[in-house]
Amino acid sequence: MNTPVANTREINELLARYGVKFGIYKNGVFKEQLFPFDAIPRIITKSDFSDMEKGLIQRVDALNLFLKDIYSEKKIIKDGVIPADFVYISKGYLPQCEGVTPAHGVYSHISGIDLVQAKDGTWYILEDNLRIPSGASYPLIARELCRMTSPDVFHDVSVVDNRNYASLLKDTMDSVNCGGINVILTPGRYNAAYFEHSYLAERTGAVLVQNSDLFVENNILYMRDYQGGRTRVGTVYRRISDEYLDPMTFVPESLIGVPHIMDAYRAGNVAIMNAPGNGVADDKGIYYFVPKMIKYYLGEEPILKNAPTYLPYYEEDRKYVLDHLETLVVKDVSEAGGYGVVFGRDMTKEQLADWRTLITEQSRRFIAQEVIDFIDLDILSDDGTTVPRKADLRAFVLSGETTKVWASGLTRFSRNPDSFVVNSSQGGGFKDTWVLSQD
Amino acid sequence: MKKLTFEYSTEFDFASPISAHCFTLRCLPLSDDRQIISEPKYTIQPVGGVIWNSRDSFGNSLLCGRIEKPHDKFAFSVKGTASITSSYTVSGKAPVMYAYQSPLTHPGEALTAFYEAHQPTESNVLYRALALADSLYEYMTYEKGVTDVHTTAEEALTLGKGVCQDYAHIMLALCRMGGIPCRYVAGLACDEGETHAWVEVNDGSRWYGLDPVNNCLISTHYLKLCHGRDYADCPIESGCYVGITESTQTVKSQIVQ
Repeated sequence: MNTPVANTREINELLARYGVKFGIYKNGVFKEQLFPFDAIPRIITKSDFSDMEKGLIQRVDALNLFLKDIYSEKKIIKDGVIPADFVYISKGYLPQCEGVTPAHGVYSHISGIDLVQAKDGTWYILEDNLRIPSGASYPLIARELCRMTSPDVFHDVSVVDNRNYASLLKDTMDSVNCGGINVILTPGRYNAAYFEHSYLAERTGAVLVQNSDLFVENNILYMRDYQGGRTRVGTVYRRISDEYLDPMTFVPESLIGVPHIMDAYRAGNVAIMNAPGNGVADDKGIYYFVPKMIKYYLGEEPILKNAPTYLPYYEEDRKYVLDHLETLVVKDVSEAGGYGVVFGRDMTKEQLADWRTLITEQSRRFIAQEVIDFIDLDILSDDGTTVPRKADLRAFVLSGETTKVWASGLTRFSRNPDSFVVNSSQGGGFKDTWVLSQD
Repeated sequence: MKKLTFEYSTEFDFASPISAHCFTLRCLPLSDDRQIISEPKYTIQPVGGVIWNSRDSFGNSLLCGRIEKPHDKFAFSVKGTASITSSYTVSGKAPVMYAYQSPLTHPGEALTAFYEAHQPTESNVLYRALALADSLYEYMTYEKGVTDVHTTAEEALTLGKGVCQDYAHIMLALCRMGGIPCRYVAGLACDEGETHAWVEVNDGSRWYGLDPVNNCLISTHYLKLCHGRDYADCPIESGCYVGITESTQTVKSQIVQ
């Protein structure tokens, strides 16, 4: 059979030719890298996916309820479920967003939930990404190419078609639209996810724009056209960090933002996907409280588990962390993309002592987790044999009028046999994720 | 009750023309139970731009605008009358955000040491704040031109010098270290001729206006324009435009009883 594996080289060449790349800044220099594709898919059974789907919808619904609560009544703090410190000290909490409730109460329209599967088959949540997570376009385009090179495989194996991502995204944009067109706002071709912006714009029928194409008047956002005319904008999908989004509200020096877009947003005249201020909910410190949020807002038991996590902020947890540091992984709550993650087992005696001091002194800054022994997936090595590597899964959950899980996802793996860090910015590769339609 | 008339204007002169000018002005005073504003009138020059009203999440009234055509002068003014019902206090509970340090008030070593040395012993919130203001007033020297709008409370205290904005930021940092929710206030005061900055501290049911530069409670001669956690939340004027140029700014304000 003519499988995608046999066509690995051709598929990677096509991906390169299509410009499927991601950009990284290293030592201040922008570099574009190919994102190596491994053609052996990760396979998720129908029943496994069905459980995961329920758990993801539950989690994302609770996170959206949390955001709505934090930017309005703050009941979860008043009821003592989450200490106020964890909300107000978080860099992601933006007082400039106080009192704004977007359409359907949805703040996180696109949530990228990172999971790993332990050797006993249990799925654990590693982190929530609620600030327009990137990556959906990679498995999407890889699948398309695999279908072209190996059509029989998709005829013989019952894989759920993942090409509906664009229509899910379009439905989400439409359902929160405040009147007007949908646009995808990109900072430009030097952004790490520029390929994805252009691809998604093409597939959803949204207009790809940069900030100079947009302006605000009377708290309404418009796109200018080449004839000097204007078109009202109802939804903005953006990949600009909150702090650069509007120089009139956030960092005044921002050159990539749209002046007064926050006024239009506060007035309820435009939907911003994802909403500004979401960083307060995907903070690594807040992660610890997500199972509590699910119970608090939904009155349900969490379906998906968090990795066992300790908050040195609490004395009991701090004692455990200091006593077991050599077996734990420590994460800096303000870092992302695999940065600020250190493993106790890799530390020298002196480093362990330094970290113990740091954790004691800045207990709010870190979380510590048990290292989950997650399963290896086979990847194809350069000589054509298969080797096992650590891999995670980023599931994409879309919320508009309702919350839906995309039956696919981005499986990222570490190319380094000793590494547990799979982020693409750290040099990993990716796989397609197949959800089977029959057990 | 005191009646005031107020007038405030700012003018920017640019060395070469600017265009696509977007701005947000927090120059329209809001009425509350201390100050009741009537007939505020504003002007913006050049004319021909689009001007509209907005609100920020701190509760301030905003004048937003866009002027596309090139201009080398930008000016705005506001005037009106106000009835001041109480000298220094206004009712209201503090949103929790005001209990926390903000970007310009985060304490470093200098503030931490200063607070430890001058920790107030009073139990009443207002008296504690006044005691902190006393210590601050004794320590700092008022001096123009040594700090700017980006100067943090920590930097100003280390320098030992600054203007009303710096005094306000240090005061906010100290109060928050002492568990007193408080906010930054920008406004007009008699005899200032320019804009002024002070703070409001909250005791759970009321805000009290305190002027750290003059080490006193505010009086009926003070008119509030806007507030936030610190200066960065509520600049009276902010703008962005296309053009590479130097500008000079002239500010005038007047309060007449």
